[in-house]
Amino acid sequence: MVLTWWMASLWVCIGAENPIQFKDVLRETGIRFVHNDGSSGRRYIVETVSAGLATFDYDQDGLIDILFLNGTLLPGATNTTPAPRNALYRNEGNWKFKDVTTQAGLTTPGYQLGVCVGDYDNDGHPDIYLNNFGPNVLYRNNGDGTFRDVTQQAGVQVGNHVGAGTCFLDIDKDGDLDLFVANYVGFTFESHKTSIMNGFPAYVGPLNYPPTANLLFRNNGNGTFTDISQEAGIAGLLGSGMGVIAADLDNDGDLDIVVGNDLRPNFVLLNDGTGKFKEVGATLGLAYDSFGNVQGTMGVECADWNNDGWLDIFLTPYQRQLATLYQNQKGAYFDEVARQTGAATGTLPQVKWGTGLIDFDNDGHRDIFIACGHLIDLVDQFDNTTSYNARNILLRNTGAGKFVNVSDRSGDGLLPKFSSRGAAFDDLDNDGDIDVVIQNARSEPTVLRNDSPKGNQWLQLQLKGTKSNRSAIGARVTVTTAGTTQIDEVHSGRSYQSDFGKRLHFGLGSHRKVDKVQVRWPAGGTEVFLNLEANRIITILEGSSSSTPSPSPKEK
Amino acid sequence: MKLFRRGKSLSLKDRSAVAAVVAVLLLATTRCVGQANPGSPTTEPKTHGSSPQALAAELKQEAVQVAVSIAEAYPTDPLAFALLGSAYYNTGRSDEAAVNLRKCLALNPGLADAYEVLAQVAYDRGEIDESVRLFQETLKRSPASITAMSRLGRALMDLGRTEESVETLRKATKLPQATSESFYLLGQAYLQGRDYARAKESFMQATQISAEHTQAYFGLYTACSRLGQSEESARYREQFLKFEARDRKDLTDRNAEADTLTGLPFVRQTVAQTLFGAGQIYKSHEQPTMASKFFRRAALLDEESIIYRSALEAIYLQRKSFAEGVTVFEQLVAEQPNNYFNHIFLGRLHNRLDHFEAAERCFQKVQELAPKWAEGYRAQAELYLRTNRRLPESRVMAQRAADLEPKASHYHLLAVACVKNQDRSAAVEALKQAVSLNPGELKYQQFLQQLQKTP
Repeated sequence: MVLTWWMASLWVCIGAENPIQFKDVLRETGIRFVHNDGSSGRRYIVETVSAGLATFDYDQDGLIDILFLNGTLLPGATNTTPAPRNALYRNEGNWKFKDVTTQAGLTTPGYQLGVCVGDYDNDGHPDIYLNNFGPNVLYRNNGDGTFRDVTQQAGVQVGNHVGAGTCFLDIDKDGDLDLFVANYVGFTFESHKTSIMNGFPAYVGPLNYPPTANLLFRNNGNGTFTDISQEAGIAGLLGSGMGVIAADLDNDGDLDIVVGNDLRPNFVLLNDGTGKFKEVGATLGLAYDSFGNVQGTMGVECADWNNDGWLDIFLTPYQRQLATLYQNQKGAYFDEVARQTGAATGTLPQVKWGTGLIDFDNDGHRDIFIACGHLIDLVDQFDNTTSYNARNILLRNTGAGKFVNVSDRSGDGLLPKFSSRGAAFDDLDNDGDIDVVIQNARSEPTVLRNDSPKGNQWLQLQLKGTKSNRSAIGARVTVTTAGTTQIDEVHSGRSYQSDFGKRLHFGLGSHRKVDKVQVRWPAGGTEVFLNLEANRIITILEGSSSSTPSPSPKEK
Repeated sequence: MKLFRRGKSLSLKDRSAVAAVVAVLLLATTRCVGQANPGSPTTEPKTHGSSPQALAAELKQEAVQVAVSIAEAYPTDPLAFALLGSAYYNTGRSDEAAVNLRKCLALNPGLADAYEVLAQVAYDRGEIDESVRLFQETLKRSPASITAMSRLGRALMDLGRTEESVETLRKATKLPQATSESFYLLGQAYLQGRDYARAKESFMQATQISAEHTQAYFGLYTACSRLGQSEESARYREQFLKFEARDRKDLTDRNAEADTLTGLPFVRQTVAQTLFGAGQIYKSHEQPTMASKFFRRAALLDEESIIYRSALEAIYLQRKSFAEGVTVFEQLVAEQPNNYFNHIFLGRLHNRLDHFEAAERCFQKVQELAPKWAEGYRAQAELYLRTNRRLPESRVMAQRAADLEPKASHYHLLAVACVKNQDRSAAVEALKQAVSLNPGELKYQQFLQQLQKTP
């Protein structure tokens, strides 16, 4: 007993050195979801890339809910009861979640891989697009807690591609959300191959299948979409897409798109402002790593890690490839700085997937979370430098241009080993710090409550477009506090085939007041808000020139 | 060549190279009959009816069992533990590899190669700080190890210790064995330190050594771009994209090959390395029969390796048991009839036994199987010259060898054939070629002087 107490004290002491602390709270949430990749031992490549997740407030009650994607049984798999399906968990507050999948109508079967969320019909309710292996699905949010499958009417079913990341974005600033759909490889069951590695059955990689093109759909404004991949200039680009993100990389006011490709050069699609894109990955320095090698890119994340006013890109690649942090040099090019900054620390041996550049300790500097886990289930038996189930990685931004690996000092939340895929980051309990939800392959998810000390201040902004798209996707926010400036954008679709972070979050350090918040709306126009109190979730309606603190559900 | 999953991250070349460090550690000096390899011998592997998966598992088990038994038989021999470490490493068991490499170093702390493998194990596990320390230990014992220096430089780069990396890699480029890769890595270190002018210079040197160093062109593109040299940058970018697309196509093609999908070639190669190491240890403990057994097994597993066959031949040459050697190589020929390496060694042993016709048949078979390999012609020319038979053909054969592989020793052989065929002026010309190709070789100069003096 004494020993236990002593050890617990030691743990607290060790943990106290690190201002970021996570507690694994899955058991108390009521979440019973278990991911199923539909595998049977035949080792179809699609199993390895399943799946993403989304955190968003589907019922607009101020609490962020969770949608877990799932597979379906692939040929050869044994029937399970119940059959695998996605799961929408409604946040009931106090870390309790309720499975509302059936009542919400999210029941269209499919082998789900990627997801994005956005209000494509500008009715004030976030809709869901699922990028599947097989037909894709668009769910329209009815605004009453239910969704309707409107894929056929909308014309975004796509076909039998192997899907990947996807994102809503307004490519032409016309105020409605268009849709980018990444595809992985030209796999079919007929073209299935397997390999043997060091005597053990394994999966083949993307180079064993033809590369595929991605798709871009223009929103016609009437509930339908038109495939404009050809005229937008992306139809001829063949890759093996994984994570994607839409962001304004050159600060010209429109959204560009980064597509992480697995073992093929990454794409950067630069928007000319009218919805026409030019692929400039090699020119900007994002196509390859700093050594000129293609990477097995999985996750794509974007944020201003050094607070210089330009969005940087963080990519999570395969085993024996360091994670890469591309620092934006004022839109001219990107410098890969992971080695110099420590942003790749601890990342070499594992396969890396979901990721977030998030300020977990509210000190005004974005930290890095990386979800890890190999995709070859037997890898431990022939290569024990890595593992199928692996611990995730947390790198703390010191604020002095360096990241420090604090995975061993961040509470029990960083201890479990799973084969993680998608990761999402949002404030699930509205306490001002960002929590984490991780989709784990063939397993239950991980839900991490951010239990970091509450000393630092914060601000969260929920933007609502009026002239711009209602979800304000693409809105750029600049927050200035005592001479320090931070930026962020509203994204739809990011990390590894996931979606999160519609409510923007800023850590403010010790500052109890924000001097200035500037919002650049995606349809054009800028609004400025002065002298905002810290520690508030504030809703900003485009054109209202006012901001409204939202009482949290707790306050209600 | 990429190896693991998706050909993605794990480099077969790297892994094999590390394994080879231990193999080299165990290598006694063996005389190789030829350096240039015109391609892979074409013998089909025997699978004994097993599935590739089962066969690979059997082979790996065989390698580990052999290494374990040697470590048990020679518990004070550090090389036995190096071998065991290498066997575990090659089967992906890095923990056991590290344990045994440490045992090896406990028995002989001076073994730089064991430190180097240990350092690479640490690197693969992501323990980059530890790998730096171990590479530094390697270099204390083997200050001129280009691989250790390059890997140390790379690890330092990964840690963001740019200045130390530059310093280390600069030393590497000063070594006589510096390669294009050494200059390329130095360029990368300069790039990391934003010293773009020096980076460009290093990348240029890399491309001067290897005109198709894909990543060096990427470095040049990046460095020139940062220096504002847009025209040069664009040119290098085009070059890089061209080579990169080619490399990716090669990788894609290889990934589609059945052999790559089964992974068997890699397993066979790594197991062969272990068995070869086992043979070397037995040889060092004066157990030539056991050594021969393992060299032969290694040769059967890795058909592309000439080293294993050369080591096998060396056993019979040293013991002057040429007839026994002939029997062993005849067995290899029977098992791998299209492997020209086997025929060349069989021919050489027949030559030692003065089996003129048999040797001649072997060398002719080599020429039939590998018409663009100089060694078959060289061996036949030597046979004719040594026996003073068919001298005109000896000159033709020597000329063919020199044409296929214009190196000094071939021109020297041609000169000898010319002399034997009474063509002194042609001999002089051939020797001049030899001298120009290898000015440091006194033998050629003396022969040339002698010919020039003789009326």
